[in-house]
Amino acid sequence: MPDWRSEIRSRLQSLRLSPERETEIVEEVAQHLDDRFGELMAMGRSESDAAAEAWRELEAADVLTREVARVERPRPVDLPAPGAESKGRFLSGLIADIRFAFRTLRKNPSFSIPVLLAMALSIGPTTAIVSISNWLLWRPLPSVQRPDELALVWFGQWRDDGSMSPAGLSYLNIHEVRSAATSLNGFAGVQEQSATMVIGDRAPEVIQTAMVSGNFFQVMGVPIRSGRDFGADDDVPPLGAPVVIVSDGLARSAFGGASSAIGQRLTLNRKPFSIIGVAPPGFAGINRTGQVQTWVTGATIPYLLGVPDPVAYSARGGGSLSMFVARLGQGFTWANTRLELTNLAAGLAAKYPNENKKFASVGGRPAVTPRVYEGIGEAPMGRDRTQKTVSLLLGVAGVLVVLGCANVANLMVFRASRREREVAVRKALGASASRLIQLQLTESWLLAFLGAAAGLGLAVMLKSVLQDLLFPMPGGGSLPVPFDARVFAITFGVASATGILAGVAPAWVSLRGQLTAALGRSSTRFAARVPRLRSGLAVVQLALSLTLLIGALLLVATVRNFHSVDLGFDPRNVTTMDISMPAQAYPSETAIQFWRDLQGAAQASGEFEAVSASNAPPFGGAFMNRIQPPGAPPGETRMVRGNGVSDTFFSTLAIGLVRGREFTSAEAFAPATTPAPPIIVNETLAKQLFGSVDVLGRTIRFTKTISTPERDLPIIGVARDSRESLSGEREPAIFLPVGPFDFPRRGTVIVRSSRPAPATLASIKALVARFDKNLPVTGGQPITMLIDRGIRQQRLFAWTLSVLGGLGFVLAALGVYGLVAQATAERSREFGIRIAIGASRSQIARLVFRFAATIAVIGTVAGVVLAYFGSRAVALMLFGITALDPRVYLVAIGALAAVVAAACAIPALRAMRVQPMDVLRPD
Amino acid sequence: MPVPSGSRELKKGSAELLILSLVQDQARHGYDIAKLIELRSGGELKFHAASLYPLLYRLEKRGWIDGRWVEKAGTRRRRLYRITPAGRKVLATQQEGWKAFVAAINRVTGGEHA
Repeated sequence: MPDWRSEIRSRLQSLRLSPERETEIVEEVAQHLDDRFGELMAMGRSESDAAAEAWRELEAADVLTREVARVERPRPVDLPAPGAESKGRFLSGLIADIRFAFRTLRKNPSFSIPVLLAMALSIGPTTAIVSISNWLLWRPLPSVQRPDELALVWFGQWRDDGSMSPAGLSYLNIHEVRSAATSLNGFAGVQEQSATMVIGDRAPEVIQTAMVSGNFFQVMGVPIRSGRDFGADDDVPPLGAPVVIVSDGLARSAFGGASSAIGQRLTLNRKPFSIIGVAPPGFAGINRTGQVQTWVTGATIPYLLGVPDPVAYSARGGGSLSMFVARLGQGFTWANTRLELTNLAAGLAAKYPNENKKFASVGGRPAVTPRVYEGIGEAPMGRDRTQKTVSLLLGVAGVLVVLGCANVANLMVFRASRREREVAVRKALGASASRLIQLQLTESWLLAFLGAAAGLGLAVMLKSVLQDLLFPMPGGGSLPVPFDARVFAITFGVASATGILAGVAPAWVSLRGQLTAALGRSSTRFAARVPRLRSGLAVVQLALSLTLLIGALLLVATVRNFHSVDLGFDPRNVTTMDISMPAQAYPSETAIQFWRDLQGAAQASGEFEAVSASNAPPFGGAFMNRIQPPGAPPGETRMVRGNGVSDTFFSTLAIGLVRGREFTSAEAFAPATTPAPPIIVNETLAKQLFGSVDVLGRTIRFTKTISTPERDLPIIGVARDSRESLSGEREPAIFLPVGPFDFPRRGTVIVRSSRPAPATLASIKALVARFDKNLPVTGGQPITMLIDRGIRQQRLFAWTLSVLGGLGFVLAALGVYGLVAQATAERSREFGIRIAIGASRSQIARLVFRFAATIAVIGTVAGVVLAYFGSRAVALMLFGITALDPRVYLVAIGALAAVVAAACAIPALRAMRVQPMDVLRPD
Repeated sequence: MPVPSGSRELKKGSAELLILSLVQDQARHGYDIAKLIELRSGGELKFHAASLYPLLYRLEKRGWIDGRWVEKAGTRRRRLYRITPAGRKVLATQQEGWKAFVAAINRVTGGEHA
């Protein structure tokens, strides 16, 4: 008997009846045909005749389907009915579409996970980078009105290398400039620096304070939130009024609120100030990364800093503030201001030739000139570097987005071609092209949305890591970089653009797909139409990730080279802490005594392996001494790096002495007035001055300074060279005893201890508090961190590019895998035929690899060319390696080859396992 | 099929009446119904499975007939349709209407004999 049932069932299939109902109908109608067939046979008809007659009961192909469709309801919708237009019920249709898309994605993890991964990996780092860049470069300063009218003006002596020595303007000069500058609508001095703050019983804190002109908040357009602004009386030299405006954060943390802070007192550098106002929330100085908590008037500088002669300081020739904010007047340009201020500075010299010598011309060039930096929010010196850093990071982020999008598009197209048959069936059943596009766009959108969410999560983690690496805050804090709405919008824009882009291609396919061809054959025709596009995408991915990898390798090598530099001392387990003593409470002798006592107490505690005091730690900045080289004519002097060190300095840092001895304790803590203290020089200086390290007993002539006369100091030891920077030349250096070095109030405790740095800091703080509980101890970082600070940028980029390059490779591998897998699937029939006529499995694998190798070779060539130009961006950061180091290129190309090979492995295995019978059998 | 022109519409309109009247006295299965229609119309009216069953389902859906799977010893499980009270009312109305219609037709077409 013919198989009625399967034919009936196939006619009902498109109706999507519930399974029970479908079976019932199939059964009933099939019985009818059975009866008819049986009857005809009983009437003596031939079997084929009877069957043909019975088949007639089903009439034309669509009758049963159409008639049943009029009566029966399809089962509850979990799939948009093919061809069903969403009329009116848009929202419920959309929800159904989303649910459908969700299920589809969950059913195909091998597709959806790589897509999500690609999206998250491109969106996450991008969001983090854009967040930080936005905060750093483009975020307006909180509460500042019309910031585009503001500029920074610096007065100083400018050198050809771009560096400068600031030169302060006295209040009299500032007034002169302010009243004469017609191009400006406001001109206020501002200098931000650290100070020690004590509030009530709270422990002393080192905070950022700003010394500003009385009209600072007015020029900035920053409204005082609570209390009052500085008045004219508060900013009058020589001492000003001891009043302070505090940040909103400080008011809340110390006094519980803005209004309750008014009238309270605090001390800055042990000088009492009373709070008269509170700045608006978020305002923390003229820099985006600023952390200013208190503002005092510039007139209080002598009071705050303990300047010995406030009256002389405030005279016309004195100097207080060298940096200013300026607000441009209506109808003027900054070019006007530049010219005007330059003329005014020259005018200061002409008008007051005796007092204002520093503004006079030296050799045709004015000694002190102003420079105008448009905009506000970032220190002019840092702008270039930040811009470069950020633009490099943004470039990398852009590459990642391109990689991610290429991947998503690639995977979507791959998938679309696999679904071509499904699409063709739906279309045959009457689904409109717009409906199919809608379905696929929903899926793309959903993917984009999920990818964006995952990316945002990744971004949160990356952001905190990146910001700390990029811009470590003094004191170990973090930049308060938030995710703002704009960044989220950008991320979402990227995500939806990717989604639409990736959705358009498959939808386009479904529109143009050749129905009969797709229905007739399960493999795809579409892929054959755009192989160049897809191969092109893979080539782009490989090239970009190769470029990133080469950059990463160059920087990793750089960091490694830095780390193998012989420092000349042993940095392991060494922690440094800074102490700064107020001048009034610590005259020179008291300060020297303090260092001696502190070192002694620390040694006696037995907690540390070694303790020493010095004016500056290694890698912590330098003092310069002016000396006269032996045999040089009297006028010819040179500057040499100098440091005041205690008796245990060299042993604590394990700096070997090649000749002579260390200072004794008595020499180290001798009074500042000691007439001829002994000195220790390093090898380089000894050789430069005397051509030999055998210099014990010789003397070096120090020129006259403010506090010491010209004097010849005897050399008692020669130390091995120790580095002060990783990349520079070995520098000559002189060591003096810490006492006679005569900068005793600021110094560093150097401790070698196997305990962690925070524990060491806590112990030293406790020891210091025994002597003076109001003395703040800052720093406390391992010295390796100070060293790494110098190579922060290299380290950051080595890290970032490695991670991003790695991600890029993952993305590229996904792309190559997608492409090769598809190409292999397409050619499975061909492979089947080849195997059937005797090709060996390894020959088949070779075919797969040959296809991938073509792409890899083109990608490599393109990547090398890109890297050749791209490496210029990092060339300046490199150390001990050139931007075109062939080893780096070879390693990167090797890695690329390995990744391509790995990406081909699964498709190749699949191709080798092709069974000729499977692929040659018609559908 | 030797059906006069216009019979398609007639058939459609009368199909419900035919089925309802065939199941009003006893329950019948689909094949039985199709056979009876063919037999009683002398082969003039004929339903194929492809249109008969959807029609049955529609009547069932309207609540005019009721289909049930019945198993009898020795025979196959079959779906039997019987008329419902609602179907009976509809049948009565339709029969009235049909009679009136046929009478009207007869009056017009048979008027020559009157």
